[in-house]
Amino acid sequence: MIQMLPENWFVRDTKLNAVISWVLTGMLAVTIAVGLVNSRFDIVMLAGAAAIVAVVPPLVSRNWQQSVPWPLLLVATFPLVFGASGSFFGLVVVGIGIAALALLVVVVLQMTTTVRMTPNFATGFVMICTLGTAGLWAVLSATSARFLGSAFVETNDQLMGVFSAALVASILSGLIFRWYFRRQLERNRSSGSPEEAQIA
Amino acid sequence: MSLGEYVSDRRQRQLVHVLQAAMGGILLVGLFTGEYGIVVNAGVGLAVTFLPAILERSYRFTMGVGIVLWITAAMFLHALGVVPLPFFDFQSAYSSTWWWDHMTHALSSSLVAGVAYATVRALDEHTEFINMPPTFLFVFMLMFVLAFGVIWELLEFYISVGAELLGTGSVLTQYGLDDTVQDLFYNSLGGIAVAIFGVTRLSGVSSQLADRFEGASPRR
Repeated sequence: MIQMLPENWFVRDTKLNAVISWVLTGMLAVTIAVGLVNSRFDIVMLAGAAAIVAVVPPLVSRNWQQSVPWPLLLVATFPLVFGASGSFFGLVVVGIGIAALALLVVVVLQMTTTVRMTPNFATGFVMICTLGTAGLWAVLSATSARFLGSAFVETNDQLMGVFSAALVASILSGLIFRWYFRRQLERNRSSGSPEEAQIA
Repeated sequence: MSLGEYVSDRRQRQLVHVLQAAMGGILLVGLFTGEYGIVVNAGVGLAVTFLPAILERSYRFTMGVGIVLWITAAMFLHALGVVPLPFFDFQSAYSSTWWWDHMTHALSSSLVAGVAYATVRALDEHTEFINMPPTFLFVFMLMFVLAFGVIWELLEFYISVGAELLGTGSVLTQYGLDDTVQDLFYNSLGGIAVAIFGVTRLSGVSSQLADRFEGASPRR
């Protein structure tokens, strides 16, 4: 497997991708505003994270046409879109959205900090974050329900349902990203790109 | 700063053996009283304490005795918690006190965080393609402990579901929603403690090294 997580796997420079990404970013900005007005800080955080992740590549390169792949950004908005869903499938979709968001965060960290990961490590990291976010949500939501009277699940069985969905999402995301990285590697190999030199 | 500065390696090793013997005793109590739960909890705990020796023998992977003591203490306190004690009117520590479960969760999570720290640091040192600065490492360790906690709660849940389906009594118990959330919370406390310790220690080492290099720099 390739040693480094190449930036050009996740930063596109086509106009079309940039336009769609900016439209999504605009919608996220509106969502943040609505969330603030309604004191929905979970929405503010989720939309905020996705918006930051979308805005960093053009900021760093000072080129509005540089953007993250719009499908990945779209999936990263799923927790906002399907967050109210109570069904198991809906929760799995939310989990996959969290995984996509985590991957974009990794990409942004590699662009702006000294953090470095191999594709395998990044996949593992994303899987851990998906499960960890479910755990963090549980602790924060329960605390908020206790002291602020907000909503939380009623029974332990329901909580286990959420955790089970997170586990399924984590595994599915791991498989998807692993498949995606493999495909990118094959593509690079057949096109004879410079990354070939880095292949272990 | 390590335990070895206060307690010699030899004493630590002796303590490990004392705790293992105690766990063996608890295992026997479980066998004599026919308490399946005690047998499993003490048995698994005792088995885990032999892992470091197996790792050393089979994979030549050596841990410091402090780490072995850490693992053994966590396993021992769990085993001690399930056995009926005269001190508690022959109830277990887990059911008699409100805090035993929280203590063992925090201690076990501190172990898990320690393993995550050691693994990531080893990867960081091993290859230039993985780099985890201290702040990020801190966040990673918290996520890891939370993720591990979620998996552990899922394990407890599905084991008890399985036990109910098979008609045997539960070996690990989940006490309800509040308890599960509290478990995760105390897991986080244990993880945060180790994360702070590990990351500040790491930063301290890094800045010491930086000072050394600057002293040797030709542009002085």
